[in-house]
Amino acid sequence: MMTVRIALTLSLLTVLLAGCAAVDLNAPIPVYETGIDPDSWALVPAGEFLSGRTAVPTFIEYDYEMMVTNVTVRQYSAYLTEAVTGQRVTREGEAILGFYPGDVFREVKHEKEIAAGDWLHIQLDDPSVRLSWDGEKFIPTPGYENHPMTMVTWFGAKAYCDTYGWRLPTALEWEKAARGTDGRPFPWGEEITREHANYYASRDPFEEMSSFGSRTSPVGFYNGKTYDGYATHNNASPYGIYDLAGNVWEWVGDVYPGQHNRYMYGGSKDTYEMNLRAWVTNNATPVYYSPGVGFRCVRE
Amino acid sequence: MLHDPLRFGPLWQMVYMNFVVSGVGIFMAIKLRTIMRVMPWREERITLTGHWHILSAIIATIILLYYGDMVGLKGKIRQWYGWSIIVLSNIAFAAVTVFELKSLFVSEAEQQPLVNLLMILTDIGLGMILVILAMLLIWRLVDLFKERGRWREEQEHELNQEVK
Repeated sequence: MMTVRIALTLSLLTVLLAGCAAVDLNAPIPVYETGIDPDSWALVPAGEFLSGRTAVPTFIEYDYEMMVTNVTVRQYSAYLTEAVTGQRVTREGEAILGFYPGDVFREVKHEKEIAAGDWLHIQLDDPSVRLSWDGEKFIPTPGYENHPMTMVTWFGAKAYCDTYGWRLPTALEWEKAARGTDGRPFPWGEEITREHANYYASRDPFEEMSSFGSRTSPVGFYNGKTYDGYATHNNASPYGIYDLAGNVWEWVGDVYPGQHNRYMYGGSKDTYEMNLRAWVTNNATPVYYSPGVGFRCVRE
Repeated sequence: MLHDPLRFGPLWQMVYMNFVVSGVGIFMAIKLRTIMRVMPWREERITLTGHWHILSAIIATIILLYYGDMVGLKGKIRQWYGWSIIVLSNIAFAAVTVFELKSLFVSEAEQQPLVNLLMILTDIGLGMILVILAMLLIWRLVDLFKERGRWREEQEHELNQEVK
């Protein structure tokens, strides 16, 4: 009886200690070249598509192009170096701030004022940020060069796109790019498997659920290739755009009257597969940043 | 008061409800603008979902305790049934409460070990209660096939016998 009690106590202690274990955010990560060019763009032609869960016919009257992948850590590092040295953004300690002209404040219940001024783009000293300043320029954390840039606020994402004369996609543009014209829920079709996208506990090579949990995968990772025996399915949308389901939530540009929150689409490495359907949204304050939120741009 | 878990349990569960439902709800209401609405919407939804599920589940455990008393559990079975439901449900509800509020004290990137622990505690707590419920129902099912089972006694029991 005593042995059983001791065994039970030790088991309970082990479980409790495991729950308090520190997480190594810099644990080694597998490095793979996916062969997908993050500098490429895909055309989404004007026309009708089926929007939302109830597939409402919706028309977009113009052609536009969308980045084939999320903005990567390498791309954002180059941008941030230019932005800081060119003084287009302000560095206050470890915070990068940039000017935003503000929103119309309607004083709706729970609405917070987004006034004109300098707003947070990225908080560099957060341990989840995958880039650092080497004295001359920002450099990606080794292994994360071709991963989506995360930990960037809505203001930071918008500033990135605006800098190059592009913009964040609208919610409708994002959704059409993700599901084409036939109303499919996922970019590749009707069903989802673990090999299609990076989502919570999808058993991809980058996650370890007993310690740090789910991590981002390189952009374009799910393209039908096999990496060290791990076979993926191609998750490109009908227009050839990758990772519009899973990996990271993606900021969209819409600003809705009476709301300060901004919206995200696509689900992430931290959500279950049902949240990867094209109509599922998330939202947060525009200064929110997370290891599970990234972005991409569009241009007309 | 602690002698009979089927009498003590319903009262205790209502007291415990103040820690895992009412108290959390008041905290959320007070901190709505400064904490809850700052979370991304899906985090806020997790909190709300946990909150209402605990409320409904804690009421279910109270009904189970009353039911155990109604069907006349006695002796050690009564003690084990009652205390198991109380302790296991309290572990599960405490774990869910921590889960729904975890973003207040641990960063998003470092939550996984805590989540794993809380899931184990929740699953063990609620899972074992379901096992206990299944055992009770199997006992009742077996009883139905007995000639002079408890079912006959209950069938002949008149409501006015309850009035003392």
